[in-house]
Amino acid sequence: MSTLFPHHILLTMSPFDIPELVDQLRYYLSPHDLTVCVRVSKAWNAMFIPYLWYSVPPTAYLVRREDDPPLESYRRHDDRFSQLVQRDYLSTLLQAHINNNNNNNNNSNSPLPVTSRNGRWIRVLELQQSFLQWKPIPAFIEHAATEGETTPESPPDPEFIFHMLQQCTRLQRLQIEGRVNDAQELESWSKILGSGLPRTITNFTLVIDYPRVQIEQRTEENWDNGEEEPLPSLRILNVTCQSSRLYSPPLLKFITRCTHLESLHISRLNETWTGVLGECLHLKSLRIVIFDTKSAQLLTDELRNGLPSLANIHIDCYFEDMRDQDLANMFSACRTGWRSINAPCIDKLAVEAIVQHCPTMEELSLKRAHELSSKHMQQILSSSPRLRSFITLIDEDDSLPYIDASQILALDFIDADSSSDFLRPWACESTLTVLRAKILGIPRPDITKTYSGRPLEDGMVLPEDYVGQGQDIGRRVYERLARFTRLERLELGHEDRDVYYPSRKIRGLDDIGHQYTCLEMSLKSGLRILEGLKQLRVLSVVRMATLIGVEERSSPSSDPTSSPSTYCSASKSTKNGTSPLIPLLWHTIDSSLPTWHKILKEFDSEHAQGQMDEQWLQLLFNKYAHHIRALENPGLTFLHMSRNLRRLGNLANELGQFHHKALSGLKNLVTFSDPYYRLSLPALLRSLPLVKHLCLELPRWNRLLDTLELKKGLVYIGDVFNILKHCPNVVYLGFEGVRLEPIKYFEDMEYGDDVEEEEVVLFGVEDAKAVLGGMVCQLERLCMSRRARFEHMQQFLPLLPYLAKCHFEEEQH
Amino acid sequence: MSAHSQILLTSSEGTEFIIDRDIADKSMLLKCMLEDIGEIGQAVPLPNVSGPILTKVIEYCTHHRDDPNFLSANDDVAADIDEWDLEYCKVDQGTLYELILAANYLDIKPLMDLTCKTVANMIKAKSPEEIRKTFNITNDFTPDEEDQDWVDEH
Repeated sequence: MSTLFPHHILLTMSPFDIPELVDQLRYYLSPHDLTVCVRVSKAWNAMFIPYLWYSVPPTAYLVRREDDPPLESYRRHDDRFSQLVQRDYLSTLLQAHINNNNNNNNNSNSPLPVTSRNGRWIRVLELQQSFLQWKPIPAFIEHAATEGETTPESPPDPEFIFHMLQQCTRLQRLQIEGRVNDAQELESWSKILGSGLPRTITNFTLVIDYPRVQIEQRTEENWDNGEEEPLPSLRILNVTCQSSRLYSPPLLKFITRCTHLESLHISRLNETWTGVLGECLHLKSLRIVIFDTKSAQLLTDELRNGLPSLANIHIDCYFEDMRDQDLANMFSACRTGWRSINAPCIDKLAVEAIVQHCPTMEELSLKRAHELSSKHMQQILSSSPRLRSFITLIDEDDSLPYIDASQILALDFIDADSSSDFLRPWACESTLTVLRAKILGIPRPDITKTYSGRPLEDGMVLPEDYVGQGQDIGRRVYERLARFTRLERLELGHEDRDVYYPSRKIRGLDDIGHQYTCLEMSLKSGLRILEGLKQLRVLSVVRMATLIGVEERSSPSSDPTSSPSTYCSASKSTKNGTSPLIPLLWHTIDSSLPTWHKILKEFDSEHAQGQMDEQWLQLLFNKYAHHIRALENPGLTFLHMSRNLRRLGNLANELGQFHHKALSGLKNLVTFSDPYYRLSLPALLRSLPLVKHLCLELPRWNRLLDTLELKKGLVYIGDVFNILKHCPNVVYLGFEGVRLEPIKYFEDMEYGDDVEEEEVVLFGVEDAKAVLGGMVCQLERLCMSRRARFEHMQQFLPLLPYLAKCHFEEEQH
Repeated sequence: MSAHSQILLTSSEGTEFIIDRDIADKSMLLKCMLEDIGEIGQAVPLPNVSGPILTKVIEYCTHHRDDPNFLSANDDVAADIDEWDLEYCKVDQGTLYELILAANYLDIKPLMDLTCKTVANMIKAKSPEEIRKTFNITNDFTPDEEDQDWVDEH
């Protein structure tokens, strides 16, 4: 395209001259890019410095909208940052000191320290007290020595925080993690909360701990006397504590300063809060811990007498004997309907109280609710016209695994009118986007054994009243599900076993909680009815006895282009949003392996005797292969291989061939997590170009199999770069339980080969550059075990310009 | 089949352009203007946009005319630019800048995103010297200032 009109004029003008446009541009530049930009010229420096300092520590990319979730922050150089802050503090002290001594010699030639200079640009700040620990800086000591004075006492750590905050005059979001170790620190904290917070602050999160101080002392004092200036901009306040002893933070007077508070998250209430909470006229969201009857009643009173704007309530409950009546009172106390309720363990009365909120309810989360009956769930689902999210199963990342007892029975879920047999319309059909609940009560005559291959016990499966009843019921459940036209997440099961501590596995535990009266999820049973769920993005069928992966003979009436395997016909995904049947399948590979547990047990004992039975291995492969075939779904974008497989370390080579075949078909895979990265490596390097998140784990170090697994517990640095080269879109790479090996990657190196000392060549930066061939890696997060020895990777960091988080996990033996 | 109503635009030099209504609607400025005023007999003057640039902009909007994702366009900074868009942006810097200005003036968010991403890509993974070369900027730092800034951020 040739130039348009005389550009002599235009070349001097560029979008960089217009601040609004630079404002747009900055969203696309990472912190690294910004550091380069500020060094280009003075004009560019002035332009980009505010963005560079917008968030400390910097996030990968700036968030566009206020309600976007916060991004991971950049923790590469925590110690450098703390040095900066300390130097700043000290130079201010030094300056004051000098000014005191040399009255007229104002040493204004020395430039302001960094944080003072740029503090005014900081809008988002995250501080950890533990990182700001006092380390005496030589220059200061020297100066003090020359002046003939003693080095000043180390100030309490919170002083640094206070000082830092003083520099940030326009701060909006603040997060501090701290401890109060003694009275002196307490004073500093009082100062911080009293006068340290800038008026502009909108969002304040404080995680505070009192590890050594008695709780009783805290109840009387307040952290500030309430006479300080109000904080009118503060909208979101979170004050929680880390320790297990819950205490009530002395924040009463502080709250009165927050005149427009909209969201509050605190650990605990006590009597001193009476009346105060109710005064928060603008409070919309409340998250609180209830740990005894008294606090429940207290909250109820506050709800009854105040909190006129409250719409969202989230209650964490840490005791078992919560009385139903208390909860019921609490839920009934509010005068206007609530939009969002997140609460635990409830019984009849409480449920009835909740039902009162159905007309306004948008999000309901009742986890660990033993007594939530099927009828209740039906009632809630059918009469909540605004309901968007209905959750009864705990999240995957919840700290304690928990077997959810709450379930909705198929017949209740179907909710058919008794005379016409049509499905009754439910109010939330056009609004529901998230459904996480177990649907049970479907007869499954096809199930003959439990998950671990043992005979079924009474009550595990339902008998049919007539032949085919199971299919009929299943079909109607699909019909009901299909009515939720906006459904995006459908999770009918969740991982409730404790997979991280195999030693705790009791034989047969795997059977408990496994669903045997659930949907079949096969085409034959009517899975196609769900085809209308065009927005569906996540489907979870974990711990359900489904027929996923089982070959189905195509019936004459079905689509001739459909392949025998369950979802293949659906996977002709197109770019423009016409979704296949199930776009994403969140599926752990072992979800229907009946004899897995048995095999593992046998394997351990076999190996201890040093024998490996050929025939038995063959049997194992056959079973494994059968499920690998289920992977032949090119539409698959998220695959998570089970952690249980990791115990089969020695079979790595043999399993490799199956792995390879299965993975090479998954062209659209975006997220991939595999305990056997060595198996996946060849396939990865050739056929997963879109992968963004790669989590390649390795077997945990097993003491028994010490030597053997250690050799397999390696990743070569060369491999890492090979992966980055062939999967150019990878932004997250996780290797867990791995030892990083600096040896150059030998293509033909076999497992178990012993390498001669002199043959070993270390893989270096030049090698990495050769592998990458000039490609710029997009990698942003790298996660490895501590055994990786960071110094090996350190030399490569310049080749990974976007790497914001290099994370080393604790090893667990 | 209903005929699209047509809009008449005039560039800064006075050149006239006739475009279909649905293409004009890609520009929020024009869309709002037309909604308020209704059918206009006269041309809409665009004194800030030159003829050639306006041609380019119309080219973009026409290509994306049927794109369903046009307005919900990606806030995903890491999303890739598709081929046609990549080719479209292979123009000299001056034109690129004018496109940004035009997209900003006409309020066409996806074009704005695209052009900004393109400029950002010109900045990424470069050293300060390389950036100066690309954008023809003189280095006005004194040596010690330069060092200090460098220390600042690493």
